[in-house]
Amino acid sequence: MEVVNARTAFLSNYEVLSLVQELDSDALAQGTYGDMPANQRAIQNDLRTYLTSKHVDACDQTAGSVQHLARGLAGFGLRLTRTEKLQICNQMPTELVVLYTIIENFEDRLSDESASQILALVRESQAQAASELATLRPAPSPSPAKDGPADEKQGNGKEQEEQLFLPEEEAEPDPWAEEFDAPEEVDVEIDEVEE
Amino acid sequence: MFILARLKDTVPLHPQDFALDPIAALTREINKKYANKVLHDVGLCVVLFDVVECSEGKVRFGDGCLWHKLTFRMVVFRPFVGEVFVGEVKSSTPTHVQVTLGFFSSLHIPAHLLPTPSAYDPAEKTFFWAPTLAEGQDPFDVPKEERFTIDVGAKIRCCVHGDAFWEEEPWKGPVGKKAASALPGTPGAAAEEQEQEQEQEDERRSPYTITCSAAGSGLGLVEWWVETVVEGGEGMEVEEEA
Repeated sequence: MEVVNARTAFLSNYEVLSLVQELDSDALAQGTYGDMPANQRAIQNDLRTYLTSKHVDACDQTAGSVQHLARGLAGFGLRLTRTEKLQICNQMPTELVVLYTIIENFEDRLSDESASQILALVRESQAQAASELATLRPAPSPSPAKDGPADEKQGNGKEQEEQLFLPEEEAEPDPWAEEFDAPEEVDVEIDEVEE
Repeated sequence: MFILARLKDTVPLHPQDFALDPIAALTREINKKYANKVLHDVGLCVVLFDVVECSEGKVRFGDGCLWHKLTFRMVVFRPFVGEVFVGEVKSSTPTHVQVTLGFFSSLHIPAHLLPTPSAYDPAEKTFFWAPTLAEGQDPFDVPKEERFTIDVGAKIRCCVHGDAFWEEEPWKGPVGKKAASALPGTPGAAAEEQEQEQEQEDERRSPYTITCSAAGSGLGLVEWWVETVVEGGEGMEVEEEA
């Protein structure tokens, strides 16, 4: 194992959530959800719970809305750093207090006007996402239920996770997941394999 | 919070996977090895993002596996210093508050990075922030209604102050432990020290810990700042800045 570059790019919360959702739905569609390594499934479930929880709200974004926001923020040029723009995309601050935590030396660097411009951009992006989701949401929701009888067990598990989103539920080891993966669990200590 | 890390590794494919699509099989092997594990100085690996380069498989002497040399990119959880995020309070001890994100819970806010002036209430086992505290007054004189407590389960907004990786060393074994506890004085003290050591060891076990800060305006429990906006939050902000 060799680390070529520990940080090649930053990812936004929305990108990670859509990657995880894509992996899950692909695995469900191909019927390989049960073959997914237990550690991968655990972190994917926990991540999805976190990213869709209140105050993180990556599920309330769409590719279009994030793009719109990022383009708008690009108009600020060098007045905002890249990490600040990333955090605005992640946090979607609608209040000045939150924006204040993200941007360092807020008063010296940004005028009140540009602050309200940023907040307006965020609201615009939220409105865009809401309208896009309103047309999209009804479509994907019935799809997990449509799974064939062979996938019924898996489909139900997924549905439950998606509907509940309770941290307590997720924290407890999923008995169904264990039963599925107990025999093939391989404990690979990453450091040990270094050769 | 999330980054892409480019890694190189040699991954074996078991003969039973030869019939599968090689990239799908390798993806699975990589996820099995890396997902949900901490890589030293890189962060907590999440899932494989993509395979950049893949050599032809070679058979080595001794096993029937096909060994592929791979260059790939992993999604890694590694918040940068100064990043602000929302987590949930997991527990409080007199020295720190522990915050969890669900998939990662080694986030600590030490007492000195909590909003000032704050104090630990041993009866309630929580920290509280007393913004109305006057100069030279004891924090416990502040009436309960004016205290902002950091309850378990509440959403908290904090900012990354630093992170540390810990590489687990081989266990000392019972001999090393006995020798260490036998040295200082009375048996009571020794037992206490052993307990402390145990506690320290439990803390130490996490290979990747993040130190967070909740001091500053806008940071701290999310509900504090929602309420103040309703009341006209300017007063509080000014107080904090000064």
